[in-house]
Amino acid sequence: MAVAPIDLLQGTLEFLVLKTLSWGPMHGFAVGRWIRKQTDDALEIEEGALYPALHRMERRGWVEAEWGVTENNRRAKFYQITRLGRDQLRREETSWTRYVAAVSKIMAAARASA
Amino acid sequence: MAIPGLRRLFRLATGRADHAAELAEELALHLDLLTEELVEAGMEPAAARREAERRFGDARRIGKTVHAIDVRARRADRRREFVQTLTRDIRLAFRALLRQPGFALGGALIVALGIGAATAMFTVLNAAFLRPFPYPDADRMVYAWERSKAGTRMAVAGPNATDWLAETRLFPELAYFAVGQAILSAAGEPEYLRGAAVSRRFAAVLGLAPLEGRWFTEDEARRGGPPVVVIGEGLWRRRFGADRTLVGRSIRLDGAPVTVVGIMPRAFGFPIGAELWRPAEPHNDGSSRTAHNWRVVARLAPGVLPEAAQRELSVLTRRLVADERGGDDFVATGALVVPFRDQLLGDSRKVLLLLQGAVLLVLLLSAVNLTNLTLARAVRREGEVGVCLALGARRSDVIRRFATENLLITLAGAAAGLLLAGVLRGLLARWIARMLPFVSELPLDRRVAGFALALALLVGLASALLPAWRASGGPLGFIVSRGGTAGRSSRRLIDTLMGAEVTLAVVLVSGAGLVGRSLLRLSGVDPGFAVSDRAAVLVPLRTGVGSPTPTPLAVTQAYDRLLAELRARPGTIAAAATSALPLWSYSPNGSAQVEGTPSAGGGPPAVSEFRIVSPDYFRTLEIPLRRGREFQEADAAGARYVAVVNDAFVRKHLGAGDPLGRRVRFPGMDAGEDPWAEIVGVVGDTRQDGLEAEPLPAIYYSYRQRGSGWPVTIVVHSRQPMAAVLADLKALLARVDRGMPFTGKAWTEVVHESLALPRIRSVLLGIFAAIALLLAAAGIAAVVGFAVAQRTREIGLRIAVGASPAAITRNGVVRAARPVVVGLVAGVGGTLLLGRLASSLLYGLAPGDPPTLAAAVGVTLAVALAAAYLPARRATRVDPLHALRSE
Repeated sequence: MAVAPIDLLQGTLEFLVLKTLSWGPMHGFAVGRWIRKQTDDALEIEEGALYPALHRMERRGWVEAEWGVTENNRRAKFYQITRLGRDQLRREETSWTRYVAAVSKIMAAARASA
Repeated sequence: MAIPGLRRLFRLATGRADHAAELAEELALHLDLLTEELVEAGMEPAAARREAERRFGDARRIGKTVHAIDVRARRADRRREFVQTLTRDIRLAFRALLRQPGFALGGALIVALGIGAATAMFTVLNAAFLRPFPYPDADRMVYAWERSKAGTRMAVAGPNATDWLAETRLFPELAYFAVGQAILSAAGEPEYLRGAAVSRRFAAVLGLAPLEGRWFTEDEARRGGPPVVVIGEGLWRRRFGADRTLVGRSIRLDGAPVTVVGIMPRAFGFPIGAELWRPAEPHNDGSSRTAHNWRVVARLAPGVLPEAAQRELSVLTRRLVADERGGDDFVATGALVVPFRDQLLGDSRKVLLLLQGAVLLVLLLSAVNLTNLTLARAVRREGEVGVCLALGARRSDVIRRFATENLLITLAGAAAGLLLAGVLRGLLARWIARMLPFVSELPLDRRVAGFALALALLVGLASALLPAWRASGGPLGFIVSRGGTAGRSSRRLIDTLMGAEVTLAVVLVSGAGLVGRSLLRLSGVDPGFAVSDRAAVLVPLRTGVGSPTPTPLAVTQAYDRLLAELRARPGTIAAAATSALPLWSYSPNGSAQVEGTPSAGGGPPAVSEFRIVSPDYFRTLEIPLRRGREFQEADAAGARYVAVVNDAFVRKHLGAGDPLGRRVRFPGMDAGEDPWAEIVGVVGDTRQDGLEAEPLPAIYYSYRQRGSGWPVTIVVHSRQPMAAVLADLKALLARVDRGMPFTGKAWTEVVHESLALPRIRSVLLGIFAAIALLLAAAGIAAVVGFAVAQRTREIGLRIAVGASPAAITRNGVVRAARPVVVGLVAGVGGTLLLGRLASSLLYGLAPGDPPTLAAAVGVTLAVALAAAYLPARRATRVDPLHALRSE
């Protein structure tokens, strides 16, 4: 099970959380579970990183939080992406795509010349 | 309308609930869900719980991280909010001020006057009290004096100074000096130069090294050493074109060749204005311990206090003079050590602080004025402020808003004030150059700018606080007063402040009046001699003699020849010579003795001034002869030795009985055997040292008998215009002595110059008083104008029902009358209270001089009425229909 180190994940984690929330409001546990499921357990989000990240993003106004009720009738804090958050997500997506493309090219070039 | 504080009000709804509790709940849920997930995956519930907790890690750590995020974010929020609020406040304030440009501009002008005056005066204080001297460790430099029996300062006797230096342990350096002048004859016009005879360690006391060449050597400073001089950089550049080869060459001073050995940098220029320094030792007669001829400057050892140094010198002094006659006023009883700056400031300190005090009153007046304007404006804005308060703005928001507006005004005012200070500085510089020659410039440096800025902040905040506090008293205030006149209490406060303005104005106008009248008194003082139609010129000893070391007889004869020529000129009424022309040259003093009194037998001496005059002197100056006779041509060498004394001498030293025939002597004032001289005449007193200085006892000798060891001043009384007389004198003297600089002046000019200090002082206070009047007038006009504006409706109504314009105007003026009158009375009280502080600036007047106070009150009242009249008159132009429709 690959658990990326936190400092590497910091910016990426926020990106992932925003992307996750863009599908709809979720509480913290659900965000972690959703990411794990989508990556087939490749990425496990550590709680010690997740909740501070959510909090930070709430502070920045990227997400809004509201107390609601889970399907099991439990009180939970639901996070929802805001307009500001969507803008941020769009920026992150663009730069992420370019970053991945660039890294991929390097990898390909390295293999070709090897 | 945007309201500061409103945004924050709404934020309260989303407020910061208890994050810690929320987080705890969130984490508990997470733990539960994780456990459930594990159970679903087939784990035992207890094991699942343990496993979940293990994975979950430390909940407290998460809490801490979140908290840190909060703290950081809150701090950033606050910063951002502060900047945002500030820019918004400034933007709002600008907009508000633009809506009422009259208030903004008037306020800025008012502040400019106050801050301008205060800052201008501060440039002087800055230069005099705060700016460092150009000498290294100048705080260790002191003056040292001998202390007289009466505790006053006396210059130091040469041998005492020498022995001080030899025996002191607390002064690593000590030097004595005496100011003097010398005539330089180089290429170009001959010129009197200021200089000093200084002892060898003088340069070491000042702590500066020569620019070129060197200071005196031991050999040169010794009696009988070769004639050498060190000159100042200014002189070197001005007269010698900064020629490096000058060092080692010889120049002519007082007609004799002297070798230049060094050039001192400009900063060295001490005593003030000195450009030449010559070794003192050849001039130090070395014997008398009561010949107070020298000033002493010294450098304290590090860490030594002046008081300790003074104790040491006192002990030394008492030992040195132990065998002198104990009763003599001129025998030192100790020493005084005075820090350098204190010495140079002298009595000016008081004058400076007093004027700064006056200027602070002007500043206070302008601050009160701005406060009142703000208050009046606040009354008009009650509605606006009330809406803000009703919407939830806090009192501090209103205060901040008012303060921002007023700070914008005072900052603009301070900028304009600095310009005003720049203008006033010219006048101040001329004044200070006379009073404190060591202050060479009045820079507008960072300290001065900081002072102006600090005043702007202070006045801006102070003037906003009270009005804002009152205006924000409660949201109901505006509803109650809406559409009505200003609240009664606001009106009372405005009136009180207006009265305070009048009070301050009266104090300042009275002060200026007192000082101005003192000046008039002073210029009206009878100096004891006639001034008009007389020209005077200083004539050096060697003039017309033809020898660099003339005998007294040769000098007298040369002066006689000159006087005879002058008398022969058409238009000359009389001509005379004296060693000490009043208001012009220094009159030496010393211990005289009167035969048959204790002063002749070792008792207290008859302290007296010593003057040598030519026979026609009293007639030429119209100094009245009280008894006996004047000097005659026959009172010459070999004849009976005679003297003339003045009224003060008779009063102080002779008492009742006929002064004629009594005999006096003046040991130590001149070389020679010092015989008794018989008093043959008594003349009136003259003001010697300045018109304000009471005449001192004086003994006159005939220059035929006493010889003339002093250069004389020749004074000519002529029917010709002074310009012609001066031109004639100049031509005559140039013929007799080509190397002599011409110093001739009409005597009225000399008297005029002697009053320069009090005159500039009067002008300055006059300016401050005028500013005060202007400020008070502006304040009154604004208040009355405001009252008129507030009552437009009422006035319209009155006009509509037939009130006459005169009645309307009167009503407006009367409105201002009561506070003005109260202010006037308080102003008189204030003047009486503060006047005593100013008594050192007054001459021949009590600080409570009734005519001056009456005049000040009259002037202020007239200005106040005029200031109230103009806006009151405007009320008569209110259009009743418009006024009634406006509400």
